[in-house]
Amino acid sequence: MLKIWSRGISTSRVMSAPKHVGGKSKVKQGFKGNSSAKEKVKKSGMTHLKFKDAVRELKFEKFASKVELPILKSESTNGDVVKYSKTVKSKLEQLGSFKKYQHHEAFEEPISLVSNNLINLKTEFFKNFGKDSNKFILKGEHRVGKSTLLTQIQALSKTQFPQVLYLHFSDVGKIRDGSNDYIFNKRLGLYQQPMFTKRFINDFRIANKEVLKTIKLSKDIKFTANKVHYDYKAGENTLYEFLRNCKDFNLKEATSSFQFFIEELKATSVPKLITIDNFNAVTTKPITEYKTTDFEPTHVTEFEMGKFIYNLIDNTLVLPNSGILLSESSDYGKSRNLDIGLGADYNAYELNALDSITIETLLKGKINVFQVENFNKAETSKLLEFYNKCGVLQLRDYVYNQRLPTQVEQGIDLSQLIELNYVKSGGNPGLLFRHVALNY
Amino acid sequence: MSLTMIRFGSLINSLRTVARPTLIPIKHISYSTIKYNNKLINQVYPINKEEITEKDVDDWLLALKRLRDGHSPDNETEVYIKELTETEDHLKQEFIPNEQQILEQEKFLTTQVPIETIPVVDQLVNLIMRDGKKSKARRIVSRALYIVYLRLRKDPVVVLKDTLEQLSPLLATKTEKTGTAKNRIVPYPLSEKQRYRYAFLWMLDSASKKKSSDYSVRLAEEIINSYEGKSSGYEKRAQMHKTATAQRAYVRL
Repeated sequence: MLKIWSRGISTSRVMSAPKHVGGKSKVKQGFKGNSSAKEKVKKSGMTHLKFKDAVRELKFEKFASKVELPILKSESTNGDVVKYSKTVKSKLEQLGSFKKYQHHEAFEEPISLVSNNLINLKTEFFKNFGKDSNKFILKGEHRVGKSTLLTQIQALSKTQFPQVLYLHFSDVGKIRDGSNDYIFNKRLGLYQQPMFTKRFINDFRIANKEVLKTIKLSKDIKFTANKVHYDYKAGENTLYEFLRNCKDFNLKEATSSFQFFIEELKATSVPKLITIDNFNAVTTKPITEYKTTDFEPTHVTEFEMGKFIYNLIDNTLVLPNSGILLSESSDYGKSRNLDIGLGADYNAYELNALDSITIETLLKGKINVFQVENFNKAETSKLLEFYNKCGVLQLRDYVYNQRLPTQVEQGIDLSQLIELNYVKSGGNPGLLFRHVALNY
Repeated sequence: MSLTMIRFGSLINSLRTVARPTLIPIKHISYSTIKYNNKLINQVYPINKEEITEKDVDDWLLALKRLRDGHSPDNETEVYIKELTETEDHLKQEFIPNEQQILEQEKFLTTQVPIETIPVVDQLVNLIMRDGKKSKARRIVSRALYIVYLRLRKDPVVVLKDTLEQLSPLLATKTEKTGTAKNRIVPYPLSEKQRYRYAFLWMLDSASKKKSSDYSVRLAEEIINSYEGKSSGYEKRAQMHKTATAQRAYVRL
C-alpha cells in the first residue's frame, strides 16, 4: 500500500513538464520589507528649530540697525542704556550669561539699562567684597531682570577688579536634573559628573584666560593626558596650563582633579566673583533625578559640584577675596526651603516637605536678600525711547472701526505710547518688550 | 415688581399647604418694605392678626394674578401689593449730570475709540485658530511677525499688508449652470477680505511644507518668502487670473 502511494508521488511526469513561462511570478514568503514605504521628502526652510532656539541661533542681530551706545561702567548713571565692552562681552558669552529669550537678537549687541536696582546692588555688593558675609540673592517677579542684573554685576566687577576670576553657573539645575553622566568616587564619598565638570572648567578656563595665566600653582601635580606625561611644579607652572592640559575632569573614572582645582582657588588671592543663576532650582528640589546602585534617591550634596556650591554658601569652603551672588528663577516655582533658609517663618505641618540640609546651609550662610524692583516711569520711558531709536518700537496710526460713520483723525505720539506701555507692563522689562514687539 | 410678587406668591402658596392655626413667624414676613408701610399693613393684614384664613390667601393670589395681567389696583389688597413692590423714594438712585458733564459728553459723542487689534492680523489669527484657541493662534502670529521684523527690520504689519497686496488675486471664477449641456464659467471681482483670504490660505499651505516643527517659524519663513516674491502662491494667483481672463466674455458689468 505504501509502495503504491510512494510510486504515485515520485512519478516523473511533473519533472518532465516544460518550464513555466510568464503568468504569475512566485510570491515570496515572509514579511513585507520597507521597500514599499515612501521616501522621506526633504523639506526646505531656514531652520528646523523651535521659536525660542530659532531666534537665538539664526543670528538676526546682524540685521539690526546700528546705534551708538556707551559702555557699562561704574560711573554710568540711572536711565542710561548701555552695552558691554568687547572683552567683557566675549567672556560673558562664553560663560552663558546671555540667556535664551532675553531678546538680544533684536539689537546689534546685548544691551541693558542702568536701573536703580543696579546702582543699589553695586554699592552694597562691592562695599563688602572679599568678606564672608558678602552673599546676596536676587529675588523678584517673573521677567523683572534678575539674570540681567547678575550679568551687569559681572561686567562691573571687571572695572572694579581687573584681575577678577569669574566662577559662573548659568543654570545650576543641570546638576540635579539627570541630564549628565555620574560616577561614584569612593575616596571622596561623592558622585562626580564628568561632562558637567568638563564643560564648567572649559568655560571657566576660556573666560578667565588672561588672569589664569598669571596664577602660579601652589602644589606640584603629575598627570597623563593623551599619552603625554605632565609634571607641573609649584611656583613654575600656571593654573591655566593645568586646566588646559589636564583631561581628568572628563575621565570616566574617579578623579581628584576638581579637588585640586578647588585647592588652587583657595590658595590664590585674586578677586573671585561667584555667580549662581537659577539657584532655587536646587533648593526647590534638593533630591536629584539620579539614583544610587540600590535605586535609592540622592541628595544634591552627594554630588561633587552640589557639595562645592553648598560649602561655598555655608562658609565650610571660603575662597579668599570673593563675593557670592545668587539669583532665583521663576521657572522653577516658589521654594519654601529657600524662603525659610532666608529667615521666613514655617509651621509644623510643612516640616515633611522641607529639606533640613538646604535650610541649615542657607541659615549658616546668612545670605542677604536683594529685591529686584520693576522699572519706574522714567526708566521705562528711557528704554522705550531707545527702542524707538533702534526701530523695535513701531509707531502706527490708530485703526478705527470703518463701519461707524464718524471718525476723528488722531496722530500718535511717543509720550502717549510710553504711558500706555508703562501701564500695560507695570515697568516690568520682560513684559515691556513683549508688549512692544511680541504682541499683535 | 414682578419678582417680589412671585416671591410673595410662592410664600402664600407654601402657607396654604400647611395648616397654620398659630401666628405666622416674623421671619416669613421680613421684607424691609413692610417697615415703611406699617399703617397699610395694619389696615390690611395687622401683625396681631390671629390667623390667616384660606380666604385671605385666595384674595392675595387673585390680586397677584390681576396685577400681573396689567390691571390697575382696585381694592386694598392690590394697593398694598403694588406699594410693596415699588421701590422707596430714598432707595431710588438717579444720576443727574451737570452742565459740564453734558458738554463733555457732547464733545466725545463724535469721537471713536480706536480698535485694539489690527484687522489684517485678526483675519490671519482667525484662519489659524483651531478649536476656539484664539490666544494660542495669536501667539503663533505674534511670534511669526517678530521673526519677520528681526529678518527684514521693517514694521511686520506693513510687510504683511504689502505681501497680501502682491499675492492676493483680484478675480475669481464661479461655474454657473446654464440648463443646457455646457456650463458657464463667470469671473467675478473679490472684496478685500476675500482677496486676503486666498493669499492667507496659500501662505499657510506653503508654510506647512517647511521643516521647522514650530508653526510660528514656518509661517514667518513663508511671509518673508512671499514678501520677496518667492512663494508658490504667485503661480496660483497667475492661474486664477488666466482662467478669469479666458472667460472675460461672461463678465457682468
